[in-house]
Amino acid sequence: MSEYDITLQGVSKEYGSLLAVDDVCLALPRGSYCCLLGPSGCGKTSILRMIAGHEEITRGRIWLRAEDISHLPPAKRNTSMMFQDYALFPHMTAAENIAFGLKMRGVRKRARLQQAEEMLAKIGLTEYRRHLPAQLSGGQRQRVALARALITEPAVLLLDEPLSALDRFVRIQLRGELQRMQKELGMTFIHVTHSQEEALALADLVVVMDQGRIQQVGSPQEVYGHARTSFVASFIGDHNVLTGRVEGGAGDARDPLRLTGRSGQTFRLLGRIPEGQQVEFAVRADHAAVQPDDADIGTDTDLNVLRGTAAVVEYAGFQVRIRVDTDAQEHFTVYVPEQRFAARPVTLDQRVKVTWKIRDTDLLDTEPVH
Amino acid sequence: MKRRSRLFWPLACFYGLFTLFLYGPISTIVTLSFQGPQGGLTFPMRGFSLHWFLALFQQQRVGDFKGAFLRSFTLGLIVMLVCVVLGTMTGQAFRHRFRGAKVLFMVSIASLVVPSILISLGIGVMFTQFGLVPQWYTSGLAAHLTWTLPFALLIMLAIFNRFNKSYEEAARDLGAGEFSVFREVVLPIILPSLVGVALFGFTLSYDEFARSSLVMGEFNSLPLEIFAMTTNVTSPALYALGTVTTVFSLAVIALFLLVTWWLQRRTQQTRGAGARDPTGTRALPNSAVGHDGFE
Repeated sequence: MSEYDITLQGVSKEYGSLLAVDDVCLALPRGSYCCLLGPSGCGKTSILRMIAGHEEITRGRIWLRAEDISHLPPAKRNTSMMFQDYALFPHMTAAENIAFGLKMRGVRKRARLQQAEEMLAKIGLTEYRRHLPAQLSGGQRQRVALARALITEPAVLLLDEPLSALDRFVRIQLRGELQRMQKELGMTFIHVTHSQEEALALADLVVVMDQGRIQQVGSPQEVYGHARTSFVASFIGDHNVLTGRVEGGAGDARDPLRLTGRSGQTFRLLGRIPEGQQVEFAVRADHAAVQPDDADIGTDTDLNVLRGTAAVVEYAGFQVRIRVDTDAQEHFTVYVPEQRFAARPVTLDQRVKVTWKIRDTDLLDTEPVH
Repeated sequence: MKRRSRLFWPLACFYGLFTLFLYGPISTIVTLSFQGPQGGLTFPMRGFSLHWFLALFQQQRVGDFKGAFLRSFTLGLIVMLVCVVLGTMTGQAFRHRFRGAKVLFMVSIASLVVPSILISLGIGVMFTQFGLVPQWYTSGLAAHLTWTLPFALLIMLAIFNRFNKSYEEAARDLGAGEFSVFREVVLPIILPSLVGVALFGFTLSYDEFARSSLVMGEFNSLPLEIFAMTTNVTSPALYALGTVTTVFSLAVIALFLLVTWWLQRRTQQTRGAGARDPTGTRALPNSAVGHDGFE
């Protein structure tokens, strides 16, 4: 038995001359909740549809456990897909929709409706068994679609933007239900989303994609805490991405790398990059602090400093968001906890300095992983 | 009360005139068909009777009304069936972009543009050329299909244009083979629209004249028979015939409306069951799901 439920081996998808998925390799551990995260057109849905068998693979192979399913029809794969618009059959009741997979397997009517009834009870929609999809709310439809996909007990459940059609309140509630159901069933879920919040909240494994390629694979903590590329840093949000040219330094803690940014200011970070090279680095918005330019920050040599003007000061409840613009029009956003801001306020257009620790400065890769 | 726009009465009058224009000629024919036994082909009415309706079924001199009607009715049913079956099949075929689809589509639609009488002539000439005897159920059927099939195709294209592909994908995903996908999912969803195709097929065939004119062979279809009568029948029986056929057409349309209504009612029965269920909303773990505004 393989320890991976789904393995993609150099999978590519071309639509005419458009390369939608570019040589993707990926292995998803059994029983994991995996989120494919990226902007629209990044290839995440194509990957899902290729795993389901609704899209031909141009190159490469897909394995379900030890079985090569690359060219099997959808019905022969032990996967089940939940569609973005749910695709509940409009002429069938909730119970008939749920029982459909069993009907196709030749399960007798009484037996399959019995099983559908159990599913309805599990999702709390027993009273709605005779309702047509048009008579259900968005959240109820989502549950019926989930029950319909799960009734055949697939090895892997594929979810295509399952929460995007719902409003915020229901979305957060159903998000919790999805997570609990996945843990209870111990089944591998592959969930396509463009919402970083959703991916971070749900996933054991986040796969960030852009332009048909994987940018980063890791736990939510890894992806959020240590974005590998500037794309990941900006897509995940809450990160500032700056560029600089390496001026020198060994790159270790005693002699950090020294960079000159676009506005001529010097930053230090850890990493080994040859002198003269242009690099990108990221700093989390909550890892930096802002103070008036004349404030005394002491003689802490462990800090990077960026000087600029407070261009935006936004109150956002438990925190205040401050955007600082440098003279070279670099933007740097800082989240300041409400109480700390109250103790040391900053006003609009004030000259300020932003400080953060050298070890909170993440050097970014210029090339995405394959 | 809401004030009516100043244009209301002029527009209402215009619409009234339009209705009069549409139904005026038919209403004169219907009125004159109730002419008294001594009455003639024009006004004034001399009494009021069902005399000419009875004459329609008794006398041979008005022509073979019953035979013509049965032929047209049967032909209409055959055309309807062929349109629904072939229309659905071609509609499905056109969803896959096959080689020459565009050309095939243009050629099919061109048959609507070519003058009907030429098509009729062409079919007639071809049958003679190949030594075949024109009959209403061979050459006649073919002529009708040149008219009705393109319409069926156009309607089917519109139906499938709106058809959500993910229904089929979901069915395949749940283990359905291609035949099951069609029978269990596609067909039930498009069924109400197929009633429209059927109605079109039947009515277009039932009153087709120009394309029928040269290919019906030995026996006339109803429109041809009526046309023949206008030249040799000089009694209000002709009007009675017009009334009967019009009533029949309306009955057919009413029947189709009834079928559509019944198909819709079938789905609404479930709605009724839900509405009567007072505990419905409480079944949810969180009542907020019930009113999330996504309908």
